[in-house]
Amino acid sequence: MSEQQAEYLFRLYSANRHDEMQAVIEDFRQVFEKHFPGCCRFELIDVLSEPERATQDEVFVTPTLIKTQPEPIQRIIGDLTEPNEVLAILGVIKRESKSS
Amino acid sequence: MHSDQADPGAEVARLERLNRDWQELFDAMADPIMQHDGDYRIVRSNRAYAARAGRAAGDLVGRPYWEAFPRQHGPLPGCRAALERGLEKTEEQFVLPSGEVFVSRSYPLRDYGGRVRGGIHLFEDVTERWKTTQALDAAERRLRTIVETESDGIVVVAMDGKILYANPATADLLGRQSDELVGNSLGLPLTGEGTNELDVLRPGLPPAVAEMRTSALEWGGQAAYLIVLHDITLRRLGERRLHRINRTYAVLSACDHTLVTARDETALYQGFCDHLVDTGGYRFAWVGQRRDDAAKSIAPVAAAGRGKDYLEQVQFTWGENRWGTDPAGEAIRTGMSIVIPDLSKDPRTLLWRPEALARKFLTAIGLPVYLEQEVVGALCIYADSPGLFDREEVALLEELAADLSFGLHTLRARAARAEAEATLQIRNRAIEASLNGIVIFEADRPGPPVLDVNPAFTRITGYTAQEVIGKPIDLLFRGDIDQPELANVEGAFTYGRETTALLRNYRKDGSLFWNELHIAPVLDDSGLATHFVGIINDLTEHKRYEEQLEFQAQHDALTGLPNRLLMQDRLGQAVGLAGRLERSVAVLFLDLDHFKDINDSLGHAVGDQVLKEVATRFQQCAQAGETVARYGGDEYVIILPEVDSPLEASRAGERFLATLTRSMDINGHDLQLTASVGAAIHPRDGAEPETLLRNADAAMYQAKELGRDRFQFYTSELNVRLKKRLQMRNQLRRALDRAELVLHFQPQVDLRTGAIVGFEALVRLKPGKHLIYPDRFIVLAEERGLIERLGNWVLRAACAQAKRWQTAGLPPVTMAVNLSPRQLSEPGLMKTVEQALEECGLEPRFLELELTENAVAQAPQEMGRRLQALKRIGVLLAIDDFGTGYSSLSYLTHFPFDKLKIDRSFVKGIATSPQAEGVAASIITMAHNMHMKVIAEGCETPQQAAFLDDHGCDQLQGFFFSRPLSAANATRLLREGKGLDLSGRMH
Repeated sequence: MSEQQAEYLFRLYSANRHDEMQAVIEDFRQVFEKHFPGCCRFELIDVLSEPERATQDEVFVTPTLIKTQPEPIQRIIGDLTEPNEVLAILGVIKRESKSS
Repeated sequence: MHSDQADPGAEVARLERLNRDWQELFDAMADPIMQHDGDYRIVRSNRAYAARAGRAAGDLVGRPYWEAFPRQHGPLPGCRAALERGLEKTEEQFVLPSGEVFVSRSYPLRDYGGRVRGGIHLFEDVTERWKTTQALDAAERRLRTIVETESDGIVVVAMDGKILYANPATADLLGRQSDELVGNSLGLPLTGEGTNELDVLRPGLPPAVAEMRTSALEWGGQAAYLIVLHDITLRRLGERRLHRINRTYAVLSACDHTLVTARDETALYQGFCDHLVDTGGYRFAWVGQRRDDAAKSIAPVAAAGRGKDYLEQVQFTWGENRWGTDPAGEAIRTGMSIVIPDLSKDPRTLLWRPEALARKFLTAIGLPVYLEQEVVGALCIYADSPGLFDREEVALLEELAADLSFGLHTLRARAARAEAEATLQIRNRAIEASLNGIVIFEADRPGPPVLDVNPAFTRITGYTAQEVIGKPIDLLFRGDIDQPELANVEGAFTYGRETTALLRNYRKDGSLFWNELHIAPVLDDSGLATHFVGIINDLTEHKRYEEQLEFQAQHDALTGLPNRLLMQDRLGQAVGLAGRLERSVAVLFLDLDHFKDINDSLGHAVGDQVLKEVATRFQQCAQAGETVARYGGDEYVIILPEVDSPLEASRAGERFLATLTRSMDINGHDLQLTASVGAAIHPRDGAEPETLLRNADAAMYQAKELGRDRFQFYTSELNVRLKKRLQMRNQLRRALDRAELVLHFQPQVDLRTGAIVGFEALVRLKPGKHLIYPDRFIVLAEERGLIERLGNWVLRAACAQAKRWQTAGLPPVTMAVNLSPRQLSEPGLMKTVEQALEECGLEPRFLELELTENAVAQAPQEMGRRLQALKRIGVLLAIDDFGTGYSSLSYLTHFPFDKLKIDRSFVKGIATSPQAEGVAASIITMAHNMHMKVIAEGCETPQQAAFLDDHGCDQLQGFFFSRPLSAANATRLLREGKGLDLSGRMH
């Protein structure tokens, strides 16, 4: 690990599935705690309450997860229940080898 | 080459050979080749071309090539364009009537000047390749058609999530144009196991639900994802609806249970709300009760779910106004269920929408709750997804609301019944408990017979219920029916009237009692009497009650002994009789020893038990004619109405004392009591009852003084000191009551100017013509709790006098008043001082409070605070008797004193004791260093005055200038402006 970790910022868009998404965020945080403690921030946006946010950020479907920091901005849709998988795809962490 | 030029024949032969070689080369090639001139005439061609043209090669030269191959109406368009515009290379395709497809590649030929003079064509038969391509194109077209007409959304996204392709179905699903989508970022699709469900956002529409499948794909040579979105919105809605309906059924069934078990309305409402949220999965449910107040308000009585504070944020009303648009108001007003399918859009919701949306209430329903055809409230339910509450669900919820109404009805009916039963029970209890005898008669049978009687009846008459039920009430008369008012009773029974009659009745034991009987009919709905109620008012009972009251007035409630009042009465009688019968009456005054300790250590309950036990023992000990009375507290008085000798009285005293020798067991405490007894004998020790009592009291005091637990006769010379104390105590109290206190004032003069600058107020008791000095009554006053009253009186009187002088125009002087240590520690001191000043209007700076150093030294911190508080009022503070206590001068710096008064003992020593002089002198110096003024009291001689003057003392007070004066004399002194004359002295 490098001495100065970049801070990861995520936005999670959901349509009225607050509790489910809170749980997802919690899972992500746990993974982050393991790899980069205290380095991630999540913003949960309910597109039904704030439809203008969805329009503004061109979110077409939910759940959508956008990594806004660091560059490049990346987005993921669909199944977010495996944070390790998601973060590996985003290149945030290395894919855990099956053997270990 | 030089030699070739030399031989033209050989050169021609060589060229011909070369020509032939080329021709052979061309002819060997399978593809047609042809050269034409600027007019598209064939210059030469190969065998393959000739074969295509169907002629010998030689025949073709000079002909336009379109007459040979490919046959058509002019040159190939590409070839022509190349020739006319000088293009370097042209490639074009043509199809023969046979269906064969050729490609022609033509190249221009130029002369030496660079002008195009013709072209060469290479033809290639591409029929096979073309056919393949054609087949591929068709396949792609078919696929494309399939993709574009497919109802599922098909999207291709690049590895960065950007949309590369989206079919029209995708555009429809997303509510946008296809070309709008391409280039936008959809995101990398992740589908865990198999498919994944997405909410699809559509501008201006509720979200759709789509199932997503993904697969890897190569697109334009790059890795990409293919995403298939299958719209399952309808299916999900259907499922959700079904789910919801099922849940609503579950709610109904749970609420059925509540209907049966709910004990009260709150439990009923709460149960329904709980089930709606817990079982029904609704976000929030509440029940509001209709209020018929001016605001037509709705009071929430139960709520469950998330966002309960909503009820506090919104004003609920069923009035027809802007706030009355919410489901509760509307349901109550209209008596119908009201559904708001989308809270965020409905114009009715405008006022309360923000509060509702903040709590994720997106859909709402209000259902009226009825009681006896009247809307009494509403059940309101909120859900967090829009579009709920379809017809089926509403029907179920209406059923639920009907259940709630039913439950309410049941509970109210049950409550009404319970109330009726309770009322009946209370009435029965009242009848049972009534002190008046109550008889109930059956009105519709002759007699009329008794139906029931209460216990008081039995108590009064002696007859039990069994003995009188079913019989007429005649047995109370025992044949004594010649009574005028009996007719009233018969009239009442006959005509169903109400009446009251005073009757002679007889108890079971035959004794007579006066019965004031009140009869009242009990009427049925038609106005006929079904029963009579008779109330027996035993006037004999009344009499007893009055006696009881009288007894209570004359007896001590705790011990039941005659009280002081009755005792005095009896003593008066005994003394009166004794005078006539020439007998002696003795009064014993008993006081329990150390009774206060019992009260203090074991509590009043134990103390009271002791007093009762002593009373019992004394009463048992008393002989006929003797009266034992409780005088008050732990004092008892015993009247012995007939004694022949003092000896008999003393024996009686010993007899009563002896009853206490046996120890008492009170609440587990083993107590050993003694008493002190004083005795006075009539007429020897007093003719009047009061004198006798007082003297017996005095004798008792002496018994105490002599060591308690003893008997003591009154003697006229008995205990003079005690008598004096008693006298003094009474005098002091009287003095305060009758304002027999006076103030005297001793002037304080300034040693520099000689003028009077102040007075010290000194209190005197003046019961008659004589003055009594404080040293004789202050201690007593403190002992007897009179010191506060005394101190307050002095303070007020002194302030009033000072003000009086000012009003009279006399020179302003300070008024010094002594504060006792006790006063200083009184919590109300500040208020007392302020009030005293306010009452007479004296400015605080004219009041000087004198305190002894010991008063301050007792609790320096607390006193420091109190003195500071006094300073804030603005009064002056002086330390009195300085030098007699143990405090040092430096100690005084902690307190805000303005003035120091040197104790008279040092002043007295001036001119006789060098030591005293030294102390006085150093006190003056040091006090000045601490910015205090110094006054010397008790200054009696010119020598003392001179010494004080020499040593810089500021003021003096004492006989040398003036003794304490009455107010009148002090006034005169002030008016005359007399001062201290030190003019004879040299400074």
